This record gives sequence, structure tokens and C-alpha cells, in this order.
Amino acid sequence: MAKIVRRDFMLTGTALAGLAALAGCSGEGQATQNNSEDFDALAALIVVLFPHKDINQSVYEEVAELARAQLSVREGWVRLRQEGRAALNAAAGAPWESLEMGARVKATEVISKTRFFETVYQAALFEFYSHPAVWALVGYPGSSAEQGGYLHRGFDDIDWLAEAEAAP
Amino acid sequence: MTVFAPTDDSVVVVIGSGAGGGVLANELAQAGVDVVCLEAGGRLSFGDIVNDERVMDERMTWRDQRIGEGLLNPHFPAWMCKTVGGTTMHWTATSVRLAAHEFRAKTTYAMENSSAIDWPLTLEELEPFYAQAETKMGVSGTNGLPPLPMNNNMKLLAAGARLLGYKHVTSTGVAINSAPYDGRPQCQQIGFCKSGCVIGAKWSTLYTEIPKAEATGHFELRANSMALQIEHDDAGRVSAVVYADKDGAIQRQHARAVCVAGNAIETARLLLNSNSAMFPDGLANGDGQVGKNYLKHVVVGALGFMPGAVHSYRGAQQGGHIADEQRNDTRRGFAGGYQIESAAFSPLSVARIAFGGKWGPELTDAMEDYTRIAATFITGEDVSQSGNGIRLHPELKDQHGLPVPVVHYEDHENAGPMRAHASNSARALFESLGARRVVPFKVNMATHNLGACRMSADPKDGVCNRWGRAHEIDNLFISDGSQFSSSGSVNPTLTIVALAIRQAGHIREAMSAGAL
Repeated sequence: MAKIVRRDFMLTGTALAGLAALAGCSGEGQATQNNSEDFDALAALIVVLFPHKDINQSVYEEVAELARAQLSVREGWVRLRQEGRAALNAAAGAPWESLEMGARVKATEVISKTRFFETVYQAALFEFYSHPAVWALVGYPGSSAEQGGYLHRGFDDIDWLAEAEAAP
Repeated sequence: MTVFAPTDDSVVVVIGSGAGGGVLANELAQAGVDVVCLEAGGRLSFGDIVNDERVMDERMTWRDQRIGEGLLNPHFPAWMCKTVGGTTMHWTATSVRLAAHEFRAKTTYAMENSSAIDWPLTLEELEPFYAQAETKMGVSGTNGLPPLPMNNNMKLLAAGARLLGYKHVTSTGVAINSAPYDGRPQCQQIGFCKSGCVIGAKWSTLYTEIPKAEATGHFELRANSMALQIEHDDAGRVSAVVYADKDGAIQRQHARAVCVAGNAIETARLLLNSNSAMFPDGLANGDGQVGKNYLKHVVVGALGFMPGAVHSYRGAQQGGHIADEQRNDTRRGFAGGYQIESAAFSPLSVARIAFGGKWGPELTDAMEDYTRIAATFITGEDVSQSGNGIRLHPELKDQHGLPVPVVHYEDHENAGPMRAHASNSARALFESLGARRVVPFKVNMATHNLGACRMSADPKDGVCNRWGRAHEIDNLFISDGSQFSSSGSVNPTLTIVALAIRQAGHIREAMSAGAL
């Protein structure tokens, strides 16, 4: 069933970095380098949140960009992000990204009740499970009207109920 | 296109164009009564309706600021629509009559710590109007329409129900065309009912009542027009509605009578915001009943992770239900009953609603089973409490400068045992068919907003009488689910439509008799 799902980058790497920098700056003059790091950390955090084995890294990066675009326009986001990063690093006892996966998860659990986590989680969840590559992985086809719906495409094709009903 | 002058005080102003307002306006217009309908939202055309939850949420959702208290989300306490057609755009079309005992909440349930009352009308009185509503809406299993064909998820619920010994399992009672009806096509089992029906097979006032009313020449729809205040004359009768038009300009439409159908929260808020020297606490609020006894439903969702594929996203999102638990049987440990309904959730909804707050493998493992998920949505009787309600925020104002509504809701002690019983029913049903895992989940956000301007026999107990006519103000009507004296267990739209048809007849008679 499971298969690697690939999807073209919506944005090139350069465009991503540019957008990320823009989003991060939002009036508080962050250095581009820090923004890149923050962006990488956001993508890495989204991997921790939604660790599907067969989702390409590029999808996590796209979701990070979409989540970031959503978050960057919120009042107080830059400060919340800084606090969140500091809390993650404190929980990790080292720069969070320098840890391996298991330790990243543990540190993330430590901060999972913070407003930073909740804010990032909600934005990322919204974008991640709306992403076509994720839909393809879980088996959700999305829009059906242009194919005439499911009236002639299996809306009632369930074929194992009789067996299940007969089972003791 | 008919246009009425703002100074024309012979028109009836209907506020809202959904199940209550849209139907009432059309019924009046068909009888030759001139109606101006003010709708806060814009008017979509079929080309605007797409199979995309996020896009349609943007186009239809009421996003003006509200404050939630108690169990409600503090920033988004209730889900409703701001669009022509109101929540008939978003609804899933389950159209079932209230049971006789559900009209007698106080007598039947005899609950402590409750402000429950009996409806000032009976099922028997409402039955002819239910029949008219079913004809209007093309409800499956009525008017020669077959039951809606069961999709995979409903077939699964039906199989489980048989194993549990349930008898009342049906895909009748759905206002989705099971065959072509009223110029609208048969359901193509597209899914996405909650995002607006792309082909119009699901009944919505946007493409039924509204154009039919317009064709009479007695009806004018003013979309993007937010009612701000209802004014009254020196005699204490309502005389005009002040509203903000699409450009934000303030307009005033004079009126012979005003019918409010803004969906519980906005209905109560409008009356409260219409305070004056004569009515210092708001219109029709002399006994302090406006905004009180707000009801939703006790709601439980449940997902079953089944041994085989279900593809529950295919087809009508709520194409049938099980009614066996609607009865009142206190041996179950609670009063009132509930409906077990077929449901379907997109991946985003599964993640946000059923697994809200979960992350890591706990979430992703479940999501990778998406195609094997079966779903049910259970709605049960909510017991009235006077403390549940709508009031105005003392400081916060909206974009029009009006106080924003504060919605307060707490569970009644009856809710916990009902929810537990409903969760167990869902679990038993899914497990009877080999479910590996069942995940019940609680839904606090309200999509069924009821009560808050309820009808009552005694004026001290409610806001309006058995016709939805305000006890205190003769030419002011409550025309939506706000009228409900109790919630019942069934989805409310069919009852709202039946009440609107009945109220239209009452208004016509009162006009003929010179009493309005």
C-alpha cells in the first residue's frame, strides 16, 4: 500500500529562502541567516509532529513554508518564535536541531504545553493534512465533482460486511 | 427585480435567509406579502461552490468576533454561516421529525437543575407542517422519493445496527434528492455536502426558496446587509430595521413587521442590541429571557478502525441514521435520547477533531488507516439551563461598533451519562463488525444553535408564543431555531422549516384580520 509520494516543489530553494526571510523579518529586522535556521527548525519540528515514513522531505518543507506564511502575519509571532526556540533548546540541553530524532521528540514533549507549541501545531496540522501529497499517502482523493462524484465510482462498493456480520 | 423603497412601511422585513428566514420569506411572498430579506452574507452562485473544504469555509463561515465561555472555544464558540442560504449551505440534510415526547421536555424528563419547559405546541399540531416541509425540501422516503442509496459508511452502520438488534435504521429522512425533484438533480454521491452542494441535489434556500420568492415580484433580497438594530415606535411596536449595507453605509428599512432569523446567537444579540429608553434591556426582554436557555446538542463523534476498506468520504456525508436510541428510557442512566448518524470526515477533520492535540506516531499511524475509518456522529437531547446563553460583551465592539456576543455553555449533569452511553453504542456497533480500535471524541463547538429566544406558554418563561410571535411586541417574530423550547435529539432544520411555514400562515391570517 505505502508508497513514496513525490510532488514537485511548489517553490525553488531560493524562493523559499527569500520568502522565509520576508516572513521572519516582519518588522523586527531579523538576520537572514537566523531566519534560515528558524525555517529549517520549523520543518524539522513538523517532521517530529507528523512522522509519516513515506512522505518526502520536500513536503515537510512546503508545509513549513505554508505554516510560516500563516504564522508570520500574527501579532507577536516573532517574539513567540524566539521564546519557543529558546525553550526547545533549553529542553534539549543543546541546540535542538543538533539532536537525533529520539531526543528531538523528548525535548518537544517537554514544551508541548506551551503556547508556542500549540500555535505551531495548529498551523502545521492545518497545512499538513490539507496537502495533496499527504492526501495521496492516506488515500483521500479530494475533489470528486469533476469526476461525477462516486455514484458510479464505488460509493457503495464495500464488500466485506456480510463476512463480518457472519463472524462469531 | 423587485425593489422596495426604504420608507415603504408596508413590507415585512425578514432578517436572515437560511432555513427559517429563507422559507418564511418565500412563503409570505408566495401569498403576495411584500418582503425585504436582509442577509449579512454574500450571494454565491453554483460556480462559487467547489469541492474544497478550506475554500468553502472561507466563503461561508461567520467569522465576526465572538467570545466563548464555559466549555466553548473562547475565540470561536459556534460554527455558522454568513452567506445567502445560511446554514442550509453547510448542513448535512438530516431531516427527521421530533418525537412526541420531545415536545414535552419538562413533563417527560422532570430534570433537576433545569429550566426545561414543554413546547406550547404538540407534535400533532406540527405534523401537517412537517409534511409540507418534507414536500418542499424533497426529503428521502417522503413524497414518492425513495430512501437515499446507502453509501459504504451507512451500509456499515446498518450492518452493525442489525447485529446490535436495532430496528430503526434508515436512509429516509435526508433532504438530498434520491431522485430528480423540484428541478434539482439526483445526488451523485459527491461528498463535500458541508461545503455546499455543487449540483444542488441537497436542499438549500440559496437555490430553492430565494429564487422562487424573487419570481413572485413580492420579494427583495439584500445580501451583504448586516442588521444592526430594530427600531420601534412610540406605541412599542417595531417600525424599522437599521442595517449596514455592502459598503458599510448605514441604511434604514421601515417595516410593518420584523421577523428575526439570525441563528440563535445573532438573533438574541440583535434583540439585546436594540435596547432603547422604552426597552432598556433590549426588545422582547422584559422578563430577562432573551439570550437565556441557549441549547445545542449533546454531541459525540466516534471513529471505528475497521478490518476492511470503508472509504467513508465517498457519497453523502450524512446519508442515514439509526433512531432506536431516540426514546426516553431512564434505565439507560439519563433522560432524553439520541440519534446515531452516518458521518464522514476529511483527513484534516479526522486530525483536528477526532485526534485534536495528538501528534507523533499516535496520530500518523491512525491517519495512515484513513481509508478503513468508519464514522458516526451522535446528537442527543440537551437539557435547558438558564445559565447557558448569549449576552453582550461590556466593552468589545465589532466592525459596526456593536457589542460582540458572549456565548456561555456548560454541560448539564445529564450530558455525561448520555455521552458515555452513546460512546458505548458506537463502540459496540463498530466492534460487532471487527473494529480493531474505536475512538470516541467529544465535540464542544455548536453547529446546532437553538433556544435563546424560546417559545413558551407563560410569557415569563420565554420570549415568544406558540407562533414565534414576541410576547411583548405584537409585530416582532422569532423565526429560526431560537424558538425551540427544548432541543430534542434530531437535527433541527426540518423543524425550523416546519415552524417557518406555520408562522407564515399565522402572519397572513393576522394581516387578513387586520391584526398586523
